Amino acid sequence: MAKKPKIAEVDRSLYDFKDDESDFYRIKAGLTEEIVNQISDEKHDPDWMRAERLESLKIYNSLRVPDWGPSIEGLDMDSIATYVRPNTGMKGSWNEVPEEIKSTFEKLGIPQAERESLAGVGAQYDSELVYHNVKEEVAAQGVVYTDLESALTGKYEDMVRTHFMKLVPPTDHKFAALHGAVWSGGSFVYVPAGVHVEIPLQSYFRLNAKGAGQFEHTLIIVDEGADLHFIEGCSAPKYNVANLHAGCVELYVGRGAHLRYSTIENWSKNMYNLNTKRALVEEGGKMEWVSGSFGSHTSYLYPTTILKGDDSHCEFTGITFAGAGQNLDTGAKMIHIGEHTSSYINTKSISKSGGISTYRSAVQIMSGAHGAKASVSCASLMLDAESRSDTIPAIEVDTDDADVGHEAKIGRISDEAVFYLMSRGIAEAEARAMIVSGFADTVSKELPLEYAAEMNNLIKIEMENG
Amino acid sequence: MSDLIMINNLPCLTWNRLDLNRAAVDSRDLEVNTEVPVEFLTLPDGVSCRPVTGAAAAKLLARTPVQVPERVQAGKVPIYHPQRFATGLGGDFDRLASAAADAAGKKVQLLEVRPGAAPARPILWHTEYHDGNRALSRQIIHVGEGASLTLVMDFVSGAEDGGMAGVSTGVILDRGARLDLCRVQMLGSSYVHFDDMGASLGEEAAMTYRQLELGGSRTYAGAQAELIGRRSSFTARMGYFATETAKMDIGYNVVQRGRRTKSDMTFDGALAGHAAKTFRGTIDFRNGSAGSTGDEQENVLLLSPAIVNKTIPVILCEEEDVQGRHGATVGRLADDILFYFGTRGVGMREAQEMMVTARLGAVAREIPDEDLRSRIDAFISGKI
Repeated sequence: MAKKPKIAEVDRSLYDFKDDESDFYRIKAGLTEEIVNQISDEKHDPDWMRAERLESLKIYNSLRVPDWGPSIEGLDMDSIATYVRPNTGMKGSWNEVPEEIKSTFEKLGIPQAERESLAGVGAQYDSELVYHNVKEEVAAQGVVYTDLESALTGKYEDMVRTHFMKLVPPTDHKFAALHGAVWSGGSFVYVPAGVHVEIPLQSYFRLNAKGAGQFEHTLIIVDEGADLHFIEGCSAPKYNVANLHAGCVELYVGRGAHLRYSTIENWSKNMYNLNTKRALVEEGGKMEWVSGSFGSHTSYLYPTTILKGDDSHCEFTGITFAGAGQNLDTGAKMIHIGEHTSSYINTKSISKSGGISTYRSAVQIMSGAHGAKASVSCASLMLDAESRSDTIPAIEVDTDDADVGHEAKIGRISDEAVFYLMSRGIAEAEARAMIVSGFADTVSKELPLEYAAEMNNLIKIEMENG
Repeated sequence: MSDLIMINNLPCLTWNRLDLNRAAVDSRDLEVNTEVPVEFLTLPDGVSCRPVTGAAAAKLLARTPVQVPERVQAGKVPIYHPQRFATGLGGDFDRLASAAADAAGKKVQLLEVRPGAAPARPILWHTEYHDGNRALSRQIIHVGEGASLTLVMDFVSGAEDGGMAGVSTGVILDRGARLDLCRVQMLGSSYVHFDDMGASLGEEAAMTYRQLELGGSRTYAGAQAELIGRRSSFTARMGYFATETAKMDIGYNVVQRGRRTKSDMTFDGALAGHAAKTFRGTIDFRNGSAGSTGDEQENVLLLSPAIVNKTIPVILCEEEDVQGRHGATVGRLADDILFYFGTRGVGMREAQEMMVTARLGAVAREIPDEDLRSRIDAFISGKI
């Protein structure tokens, strides 16, 4: 076999452009009660929300940094600005969005995607949404898709209050508490009972500011028998200082409802991505996660599903690609509570150029989850000996009436496969990229076409310096 | 004085709330009040056994190649908890057990096999405990270049007896050496059992480790194999059966350092009553282990709704050219199997008994001593 070609460093110019933020409002760096109060003032919080923020800050200060995951020593909260507001309010038309910000989202293809294939779009820039719109026919079905701040004080206030940070309480972990203290932006979605939203909604999060954090909160309630596909995208330009993303996603899937939540995460490689995502599924409900993790310096990301209702079901399909300088700790958690619940985790991870990829998961079958079935399948691909790939799956079964299977594999690209493709005139680098794309196929086929194309493009960038 | 010691440390940490990162044990559990004699049949030619001091044993173990700690740290704490000579239960147990045994003047049994020797018959190492015994035994098994040995150790007591039985074994396999080590624990229902094993394998050395943990109220079994020499291999066949309120904590860690090393491990167990079991199994491919393979499979049969079964099969990998796999199946007897038995007039309880016997019997069958195999069958039947 010929010597492997050196795969060059990643060219992220597609995502790596910066806007001037000189006229933005930026809160001073750090995390104090004064800063939390200031954010609350800026956002005109109701009193209960201010109280929750301050309580979360206390919890944050009382909790320790996790001792089990990648190091986050490079993250200094005293250097992070937790709130940066662009010089615009939220608009309902792209024509009203300031030119520079609009141009950013155009480069990322958001307005085009909205025109062609989405039922609604929310676009967040730093700490605030700058654009939100939902198609009239979707709104006419009673679907609510708005920024969370509007929902907080409007007619959905009670609904928000009874669900906000109830699935992910601030006591859950240190960065959930941080989120509770300084959250800003994000979306609220309510799909009424029986309504099927035929085409997806999408929120896109762009963090432009240097040395800042983004803490958007996504709250989705899919009522009984309803159906929704929600897409989340994110990116940021690269800086030489740490940025932080500590978002929170809470998903409520009602009785017999279905929710698919797809994410292509492509943060820049100075980002600490400490995101928390959780879903609660009622009787007969179905939750699907499709997750691609490509960016970030360090990631902690384990979407969790609580299968509370009998006969509820969840599938998690994920891929993680860790390149030079990245330490991506990703996976999923499934908690079976109801009877005859079922879950399926299928993940792929790729490590290259010194990147560290860790698959971490937990499947818990509680004592009352009679007839539960769970299956975990994870595969890791090592592209060189400088990299690292670990698989750390935990299983807990507290009843005899359960069926749990687990399978994990780790290996490298087979020389035979590369040789076969080269014998048909394909260059080695391209052959290796093709094999990696094939390895990722189980994830890309779960995505809408244009997002699958974006994911394949990201793999190509990583593999070929596209 | 009471202190908690941490044993069976997972070589990488995960969520603390899962309570899988380690087992905590009261140091008083390791207090010793007696020495339990070992009964040997005659040693074959080429094999010697003599007592050495703890210091001499440590010196011998220190002559093995240095077991380099992890290059990468996964978290803020070291991913690995290195001992100079790593054993399964880990540094805390090693230090405490050595100190307790040294203070009581207990020596380490050094079993040596001369280079090239290949005894035709296994050595049977029988240890019988009585009610109230609290004893720790330590051995080093050193198999010289090109030599081979089969050693069968069993630990027994009366069915209702209680006490503490600790065993700590260091294994050194020189180039081309072979060791088949069988350990069978059939202690009384109130015994606490510590079973610690560490092995260092040289070039083309091969070790098969057969372990049956069948008795006791609490069992802590830890095994660590360091595949240092190229083409060295480690095969494990473990069976366990926990009933009533028994607790079982198992940790296997195979570190593959040499080129073209191989590990192959299966763990078959059954849980009944209110039994709780934690299993940690790790295959750790280190830089330089190119061409290596590792395979690990756990199958757990659940026989009661009140059991707690925790499993964490881990693969750590910092080498590209390796193939690793692990799998786990956890569940009760499938309906189609029960139906099959039913059509032949076999009820559910009887079918369960047959399946437990079959699973553990698969491990027991390979033990090269007919008398011990019979006693294992009787013990399992008695428990069922």
